[in-house]
Amino acid sequence: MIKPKIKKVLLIGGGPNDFGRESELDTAMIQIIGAYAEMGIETVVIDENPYSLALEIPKIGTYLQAITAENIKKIIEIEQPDAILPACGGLTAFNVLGELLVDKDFHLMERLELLGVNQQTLELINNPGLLANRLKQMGEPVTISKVANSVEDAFDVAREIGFPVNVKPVSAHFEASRQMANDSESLDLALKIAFRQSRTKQVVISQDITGLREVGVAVLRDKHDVNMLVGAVEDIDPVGIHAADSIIVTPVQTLTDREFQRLRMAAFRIMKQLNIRGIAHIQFALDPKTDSYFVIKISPYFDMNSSLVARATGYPLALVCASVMIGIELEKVKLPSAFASKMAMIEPVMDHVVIRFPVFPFGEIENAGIKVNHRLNTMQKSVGSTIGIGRSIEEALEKAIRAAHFSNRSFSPHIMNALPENDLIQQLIHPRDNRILLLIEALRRGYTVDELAELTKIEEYYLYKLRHIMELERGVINNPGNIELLTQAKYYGLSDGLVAKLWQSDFDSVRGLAKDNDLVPTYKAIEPSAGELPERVSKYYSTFEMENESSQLGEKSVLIIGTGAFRLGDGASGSYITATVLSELKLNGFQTIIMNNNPNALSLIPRLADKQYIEPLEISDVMNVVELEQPALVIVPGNRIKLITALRNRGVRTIVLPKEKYMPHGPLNGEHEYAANYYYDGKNSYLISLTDHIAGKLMMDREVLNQFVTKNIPLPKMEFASPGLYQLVMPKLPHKSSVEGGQLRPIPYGQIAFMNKVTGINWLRIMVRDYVHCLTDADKALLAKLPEITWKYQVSELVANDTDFFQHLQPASDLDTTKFEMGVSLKILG
Amino acid sequence: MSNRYLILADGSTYEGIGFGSEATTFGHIVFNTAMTGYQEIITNQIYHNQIIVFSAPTIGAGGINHDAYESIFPTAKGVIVRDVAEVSTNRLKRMNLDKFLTRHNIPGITGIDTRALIRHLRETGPQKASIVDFPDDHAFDQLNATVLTTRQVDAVATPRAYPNPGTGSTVVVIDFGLKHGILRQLSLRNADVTVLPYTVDTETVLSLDPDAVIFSTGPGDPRDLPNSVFELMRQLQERVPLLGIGLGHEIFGLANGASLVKLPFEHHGTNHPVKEVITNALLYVPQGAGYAVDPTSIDHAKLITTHIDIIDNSVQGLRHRDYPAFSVAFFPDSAPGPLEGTTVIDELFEMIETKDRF
Amino acid sequence: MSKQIIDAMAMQRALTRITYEIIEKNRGINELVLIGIKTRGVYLAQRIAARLHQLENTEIPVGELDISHYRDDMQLEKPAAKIDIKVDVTNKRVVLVDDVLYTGRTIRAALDAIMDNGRPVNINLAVLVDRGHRELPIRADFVGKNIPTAQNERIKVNVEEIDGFDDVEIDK
Repeated sequence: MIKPKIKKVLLIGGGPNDFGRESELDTAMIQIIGAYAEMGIETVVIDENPYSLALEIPKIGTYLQAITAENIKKIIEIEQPDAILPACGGLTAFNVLGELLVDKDFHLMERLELLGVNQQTLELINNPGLLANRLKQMGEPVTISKVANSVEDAFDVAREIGFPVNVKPVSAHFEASRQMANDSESLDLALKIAFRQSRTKQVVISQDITGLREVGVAVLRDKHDVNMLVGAVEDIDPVGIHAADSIIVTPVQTLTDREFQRLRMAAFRIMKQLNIRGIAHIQFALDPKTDSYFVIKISPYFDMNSSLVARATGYPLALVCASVMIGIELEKVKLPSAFASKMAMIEPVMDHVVIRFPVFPFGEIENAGIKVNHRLNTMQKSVGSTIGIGRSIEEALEKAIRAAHFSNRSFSPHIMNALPENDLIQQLIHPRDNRILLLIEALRRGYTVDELAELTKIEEYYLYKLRHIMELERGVINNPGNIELLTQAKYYGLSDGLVAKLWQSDFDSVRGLAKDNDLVPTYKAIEPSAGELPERVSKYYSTFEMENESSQLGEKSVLIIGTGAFRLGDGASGSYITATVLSELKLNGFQTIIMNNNPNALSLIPRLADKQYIEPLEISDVMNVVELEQPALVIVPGNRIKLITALRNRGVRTIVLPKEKYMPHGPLNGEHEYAANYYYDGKNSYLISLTDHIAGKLMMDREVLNQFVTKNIPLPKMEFASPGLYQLVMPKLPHKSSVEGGQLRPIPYGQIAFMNKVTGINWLRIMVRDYVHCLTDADKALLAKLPEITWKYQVSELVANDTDFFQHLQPASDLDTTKFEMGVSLKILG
Repeated sequence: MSNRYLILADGSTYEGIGFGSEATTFGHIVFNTAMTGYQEIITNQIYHNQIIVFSAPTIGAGGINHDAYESIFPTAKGVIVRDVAEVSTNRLKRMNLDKFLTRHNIPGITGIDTRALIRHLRETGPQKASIVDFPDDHAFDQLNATVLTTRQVDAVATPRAYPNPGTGSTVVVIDFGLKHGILRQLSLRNADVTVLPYTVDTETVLSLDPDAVIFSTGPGDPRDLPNSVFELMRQLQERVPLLGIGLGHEIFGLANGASLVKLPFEHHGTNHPVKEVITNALLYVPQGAGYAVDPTSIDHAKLITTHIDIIDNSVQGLRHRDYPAFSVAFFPDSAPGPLEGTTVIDELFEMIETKDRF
Repeated sequence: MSKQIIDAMAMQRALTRITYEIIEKNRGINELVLIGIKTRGVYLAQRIAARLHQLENTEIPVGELDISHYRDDMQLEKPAAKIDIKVDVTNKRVVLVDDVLYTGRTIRAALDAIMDNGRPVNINLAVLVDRGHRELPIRADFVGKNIPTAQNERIKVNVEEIDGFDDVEIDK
C-alpha cells in the first residue's frame, strides 16, 4: 500500500492547563511545527489554550476553538489535511479522536492518516479495561482490574479483589487519576468522582499496588521497529503517591541492570505490539522482593515525563518524533546543524543527575483563607515542578528544592524542631508535601535509615543521601566560617542563602567568603552522550568541580530570568510571556540566554534561546551566571523584587517585566470588576481594551469598548518605572472623566495572553521592542491610533472551569478559579 | 577515606577521595558510558589491568548482587567515579561496592570530575594511568616505568577444563577470560557446556562432539596470542557451527585473513546503534573493545560484514561465506546492557537445530 | 485455539539464517534465482532477495509460481500452456521458496512447473516451516524451523505484507 506523501498535518493541541498538564504539549507542538516547516509540510493547529504559543506561530493554520469532535470534523472538511497528529494533545486528543472514529458517517480513517498510533491502539488507550486485557494476552503483567457499570458492580469487584483497590473512570473527560480506596467509605467517594468523570459512566476497579517502586521509561519507535530508550526515571516515593507528586530521579539509580533491562524489553514489546510510531511513556511498578513488575500506564503521547527526559538528556525528542511519526526511519532523521550528526540514533546517556521536585498549591489556597489537606495520595495535588541538575543526588535535590521555593528557607532545619514525635511518625507513614524535610528531621532525631525505609517504603539509598544532607547541615551549623565545610556544602549543592541562614550570617558575606576561596561554580553541558562525543552544546547547569565548559556567549547578550515552577495563579502564562520575550529578542538580533528550571516551560524549547542555564533562580544562582556571561541586559519578572534589587545594587542593567508580587484577587461571587488596559510608553498611556471580570470568567467585547471610548475612558497618569502593559481596575464601568476607587497595576500575564490573542496584536512583543529601542514605525503608528484598531475577534471570554479543584484538593470551600490560571480556555463568541 | 589521586601518563592529575582497596595500581584507563550494570562492568575480565572511569554520575546504589558477577575474581585496576553510593547490606544486597573492591584489592576514587576526565580522554586517547596517594614526581616516574603485561589472557582464562552440564545441545566454549553472561545465556537454553582452555587442540574439542563452539570474550590484543589459537579456529569453523564473541570475534577475523586496527576512541558503553546489515535493523548493544577488524582488510570472498556500529563505523560482526561460522564484536550476553543482542545466541542455537541438513 | 509458535523476531532471524545458508551452499550467489510459491512463499522469497541485496548489493530475480493447476491431488486438468514464472531458469541455480512444507505434493508440482519453463543447474528448497507428514520423497535444503504437528492441526504463516504482522501460528 503506497500512501501519498504527507503534505499537511492537523495537530491537536493540549487544551486548557490542568493538574498534570503544563506547557509540555505546546512545547512539543511548537518544535514539531518547526520541524515540519523545514520539511515543507504544512501544519494546522486547533487549541483553546489562551497561553498557547503554537497558536501564534505565523504562516500556519490556526483554529482557536474548543477541542471537540465537531470542531475537528469541520477543520478536516476545510483544510483537508493528509494526516492528524494527536500526540501533542494528550489523552483529550485521544478521547476526541475516539469519538470521531465511531462516527460512522465521517470515515475518519479513509480521509487521512492517523500519526503515532493506529486505530486499535487509540481505542485501547481510551479504554483501560481493554488495554489491560490486551496486555495480559501479550503476557505483560498487569494488576487485576475489571470494569464496573454501577456502584453495586464496583463493590462486587472490590469484594472479589479485596481492599485496597484503585478506581479509575473509563473514557474520562480529561486526564483523570486513579484513586485508592481502603474501605467502603473511601470507595463510595472514589466512585462518585469517577462516575462523574466518565463519558461512558463506567469505572475500572483494580488491584492496589501501593508501596512498590515506580519506574517510568520514555521509548521511541520507528516504522521499521527500531526501538530506542530515550530515558528512564525512578520515583523516590513508592506507588501510592501520584507520579506527578513524587520526587523523580533520572537516571535510574536503585535498579540492577537486570531489573532495568527487563523493563526496557517489556517497553519495547509493548511498543511493537501496539504498533506505536513515535513516543510513548510507559510506567511500571516494580517489586524487587518478588522480582516482578506490573505495567501501570501507557501514554503514547507527549507528557511531563517525556518532557523531563528530553530536558534531562538534551536529546531532541520532539524534533526526532516529528520525523518518526510521519514514517521516517530513525536512521534517516535529519536534525538541525546544532546537533551532532547521528545524534538522533544514540541512546541518550547522562553524566549528571536530574531530580524533579513537585510544587504544591497549598500555600496559595491557604492564603485565600481556605483549608486544604496536605496528605499525598493517588490523586495529583501538585500544580507544577522544578528540576535540579547536579553531579550527585544531594546536589540535584538541593537545587530542585531551591528552585521550587526560590530559597531554601522553608526547607531549613529549624522549622520541624517542634513537631511532636507522634505526628512525625504519622506523617512518615502518611506522607505530605513536606516529606523530605520530615525525613531529614527524623534522621536528625536518630531514626536509622533502615527503620525509615521500612516505614516509608522509600529506597534506603535515598535515605542515606538525606542523612548526608543532614550531616552536612549539622557540620555547617557547628562550624561557622569554616572553609572546608563551605567547600563541602557547595559541592553538594547547598546555596549561599542556606549557608548564610545556618550561620546566622548574611548572604553577601557567605558569597564573599566563597569567592575569596575560589569557590565558584563550574558549568557543565547537558548533552546526550555523557561526554563521549563532541557537540555544539547550548544547555548548561552548574556544579562545583574542576572544569568549566561555559564561556561568555557574547558582548551584547540578554539574560532572561524565567518564571520557574508553575504555581496557582502563576503558571502557563508566565511560560508564555518568557518564551515570547525570548522570541522577540531573537527577532531583533539579540543573543539570548534563558535561566529557568521548569522542565515543562516553553522558554526551554531548544533553540528558542541561544543558551540555556537550567538552574535555580535564587540570587546567588543568577549572580553566578551574570558574572560569567556579563550580559548587557537582564530581564526579570516584576514579582522578583529582591532579585531585582540585588541586581540593581550590583550595577547590573535590569529591565523588569511588570508583574505584581502576588496574583491579585478577582471579584467576589456575583460581582463585576472592570479593567481598562493600557500600553504605557514611559510618558503616555494608550487605551487598548476593556475587560469585564466576574468570578470564573473574563470578557472582552470590541463593541463595549466602542461605546465607552465615545464616553472618554480616562487616560490615567502613570508613574511606573518601566514602560509596559498596565491596567486600571475599577468596581464599576468608568464614567465620563473620573474613576472612583480605581487601582493601577500591571496587567496579569494571563490577561496579556488573552488580549494578544483577541486583538490579534502581540502587545508584549511591542513592549519588548520598546525596551530594546526597536519600536518600528508601524508600532508607533499603531499606538497612536489606539484604541481605534481592528480586533481579530470581537467578542470573547476567558473561562476558568475546566479544572476539578474539588477532585484534586478537596478544599473546604469554593475557590476563585480565574486567578489560578488553571483549566482556562478562550472562547470566541463573535 | 582520604584523598587519593589519579595520574595519567600525559602528566595530568585528578583528585578525589579513595574507597575500596588502598593499593597503588597501574593500568590502562578507559571510560564506560553505561548507566546501569557497574558490577557486571567491573567484573568483566576485558577490564584486566584497566582503570575504569564511569560517566554515570553515581554508581553502587544497587549493592553487589549474586547474579551480576561476570567473573568471580575481577582483575580491573581501579574504579573512578563522581559519587559512590552508600547502601545497606541486606538479603538482596549482601555487600556494598566499597567492601567488594576492598576484597578484590581494587582501589576506587570517588569525587572526581569524571566529565572533565572523559572529555580529556576523548581528546588524548587511551593511555596508562595510576591510582596513587601522592601525585609527586616519583609517582609519575613509576607510572612511566611501568610496562603492562601483554599476556592478559593467561591471567584470566581458565587453565583447566570444566563442565556446566545441561540437557540440551552440546556447546564447547574456548575460554579467553569469558564473561559469565555467556554461560548464563547458554544455561537459559539448557545447553550442555564444557569450557576449555584456549590451549586445547582440535581433536580434543571434536572428541566432545560439540553441536557448536564459542570463542569467548577476553582482554587485550589477540595478536599476542599463540598461532595455535588461529589454527584451532580455522579447523573448527569448517566442522562445527561457531560463534566468536568480543576477543573471539577478533580471533575470527584474524584467522580468516583480516587485520585489526586500534580504535582511536574506544567505545565502552551500551548506547551506540549497531546495524544488522542484512535487515537494516538497529540494535543497542553492550560494547567494550580497544580494537576492531579493519574493514579494508576483509577478504569479501571469505567473509561477510554482518554488523556495523553506526556511530564510529567499526565492524561489529562477521560471517564466513562457506561455513556456519560467525562472530560479533559486541557482547550478546547483554550483561550488562540491552537484551536485543541476545538474538545472536538464538541464531547460534537455530543454526544447531538445522545444521544436520548439510 | 491458535497459538503462536514463531514470533516476528524469530521469523526474521529464520529468514536471515536461510539467506546466509543459501550463500554458503551455493558458494555465492552467481546465477541464483528465487522462485516463491504463491501466495506467502512469494513474499518470503522477496524478503530473502532483499537480504541478499543488502549483503551483496546484487539484485536476485524473484519468480512467482501459482501451482494450483499442477497439483496432482486437485482434480484439475493440467494447463495446456506452461505457467509463466517471470524469470529465466535455464542454467540457473534455483531456490524454491514456500512457507510450509507438508506432504510434498505442492513442491512436486512446483518442480514440474519449473521444469516446464527451462532447465536449471539445480533446484534447492527453502521453507519457513517443515511440519512433517511427507507423502513424497522430498526434503527441504533450508528450513526455518521444524515443527512436529498432528495431521488435524493447521499451520498458519502470517506475513506483514498480507496479514499486517509476522508470525507462525498453530491452529487446533
